[in-house]
Amino acid sequence: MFDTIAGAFALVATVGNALALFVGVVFGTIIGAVPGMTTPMGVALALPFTFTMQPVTGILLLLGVYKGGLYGGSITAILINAPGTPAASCTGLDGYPLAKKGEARRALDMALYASCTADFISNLSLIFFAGILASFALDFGPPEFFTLIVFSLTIIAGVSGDDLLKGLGAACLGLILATVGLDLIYGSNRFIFGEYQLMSGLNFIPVLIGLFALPEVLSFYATRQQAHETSNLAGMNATFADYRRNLKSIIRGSLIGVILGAIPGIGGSPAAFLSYSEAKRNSKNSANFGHGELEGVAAAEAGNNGVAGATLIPLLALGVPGDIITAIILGAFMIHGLRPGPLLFQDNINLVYALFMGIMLSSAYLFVVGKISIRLIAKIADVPHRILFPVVLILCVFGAYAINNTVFDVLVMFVMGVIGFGMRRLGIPAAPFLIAFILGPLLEDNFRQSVLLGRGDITIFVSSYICWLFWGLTVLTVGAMIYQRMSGTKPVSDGA
Amino acid sequence: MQNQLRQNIIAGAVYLLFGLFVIFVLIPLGVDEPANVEHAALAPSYWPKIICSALAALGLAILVRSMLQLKKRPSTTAHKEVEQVPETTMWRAVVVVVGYFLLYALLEKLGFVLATVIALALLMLFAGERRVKILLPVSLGVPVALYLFFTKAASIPIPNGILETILSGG
Repeated sequence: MFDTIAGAFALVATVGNALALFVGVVFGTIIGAVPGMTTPMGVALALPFTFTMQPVTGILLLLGVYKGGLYGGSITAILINAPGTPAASCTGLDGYPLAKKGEARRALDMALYASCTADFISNLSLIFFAGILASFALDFGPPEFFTLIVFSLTIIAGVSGDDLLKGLGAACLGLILATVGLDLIYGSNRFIFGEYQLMSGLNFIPVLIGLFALPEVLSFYATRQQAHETSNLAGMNATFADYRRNLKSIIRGSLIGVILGAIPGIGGSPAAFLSYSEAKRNSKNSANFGHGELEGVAAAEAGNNGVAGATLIPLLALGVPGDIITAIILGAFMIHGLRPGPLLFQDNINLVYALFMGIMLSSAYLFVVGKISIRLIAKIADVPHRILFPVVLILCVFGAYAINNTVFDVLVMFVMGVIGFGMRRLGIPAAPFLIAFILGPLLEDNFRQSVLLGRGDITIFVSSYICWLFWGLTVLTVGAMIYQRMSGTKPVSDGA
Repeated sequence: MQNQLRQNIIAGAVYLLFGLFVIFVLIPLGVDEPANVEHAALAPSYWPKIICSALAALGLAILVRSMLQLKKRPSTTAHKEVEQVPETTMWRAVVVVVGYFLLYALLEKLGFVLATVIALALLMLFAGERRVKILLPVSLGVPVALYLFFTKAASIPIPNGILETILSGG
């Protein structure tokens, strides 16, 4: 055990890792702070820069972007009531009224303190629970993995927005796109049509950048430009007494974030709103919520950031992503030749512990970045979109090319960008498409391996208690979602 | 509502037609079936067929639902709702898409740096940026910085095109 920790420390304690994580947090905070830029888009843009890095360094950079993005969304939500992320819209409920009262600085500080505390608690939960879950998953064979992936595909319902049927259709499109390339068992061609570059299938990064970044650029050009409001930092800092007064709501919100974050498909928005409503219900100042109550800012940010570490539990322990960002991070693991799941804990425990150590450091970085650079980040968030979006496009071109050093991937990205824009115009969500595209090969591979193992007998999919457990969870989740939609309460999702 | 209904009808039709197109055209043309497949579920076309059948069924379900909603909805509100749709300038997006493919076509010929410098300047101009003091440094600085990062820091070769002699230092 001591050797493992020492090995992990040696792996993580490098200047490169510290710098990568720091740059990730700064970049993520900026991306989160710019209205119109999303955290998945930030992670997608950062991904090509990790190709030549060590796996730990690259993944820490992406985790930094993720965590920075969650916090950054609150900056513009508070300053100009333009949330950088969907979850930050809850922070704006009280943050913006506080800014209007001239207490922007106090609201930003409280958002930062709540974010860092929640992030820390969430990271601890990851460290405690991921290993336990992974040891349970060591007994999994192809049928168990198939049922697990079927269960994890229920997250599609959570990211489908208002229309589940359209979301499921988008997932089917992602699954069919994932079948392009050589067949997994027979090695025969599928949808290659003589284009040898398609033999290894479509790389997920051009697909990802095309679906998430380019439609934003096209939408910017297609719609009339909005007036860009500039931010104004004013007022006094939050005090330690403010923090102590709101600590109960922060811890409650963090735990809500941890629980909801560990369940695939829920994301930061419901956690932020649930934490906010619980804080309001239990607060002495409940009447002041929505009119500039500091506790509201603290609760919303705690709920939002509490999910950050917890969404990594199913990713690291089972190899299934909890949301769209962890789906992208799953892809990053694969690019570096690693497969998250129980075997990662068995074969690469040093790397897992190194990631845990780095993640703990990210909470501290978040604090430092937030404290030192709020003023600068608020200024960057004011960069006009007429400069920002063309720059994003050029960044995408270089990023897509760098994966395999082929301009074919740039073409794939452009085509996916046009498809993504068309999907957006038709109200078809991109997140289910991408999640299905990433999980598709795993689903098919485990399905066909199970059929081979069972010699064509499909009862192999109900042959163990683990299979039954995942079928049960799938039925339960789908049932709950149908009930939720029938009863008229729409699930709040990040949608990405 | 009207706009959403129209979106749903188009989305449903796209799902249905694409699903059927893959099953009846793309799979027979684009999936090579081995001679001896042990079980039907192991055939390379099995999985795509299942997915596309589900896609077509979802498309049909969306279409049926939309038709039912169209019947239920009172026609008097339609005109008001259409007016609420925000005005867009779609032609601008079409121009950018054409620009995407032009950029792709020129990437190897002109080289990444030159092609992206031109593209960035044109995109910023098209977006409404007119200040030369912004246009010039940004359109030159960003591609050069990205080029330097990928070639020097990440050791990824980037095509230099007609600037080969200048950029490769020879």
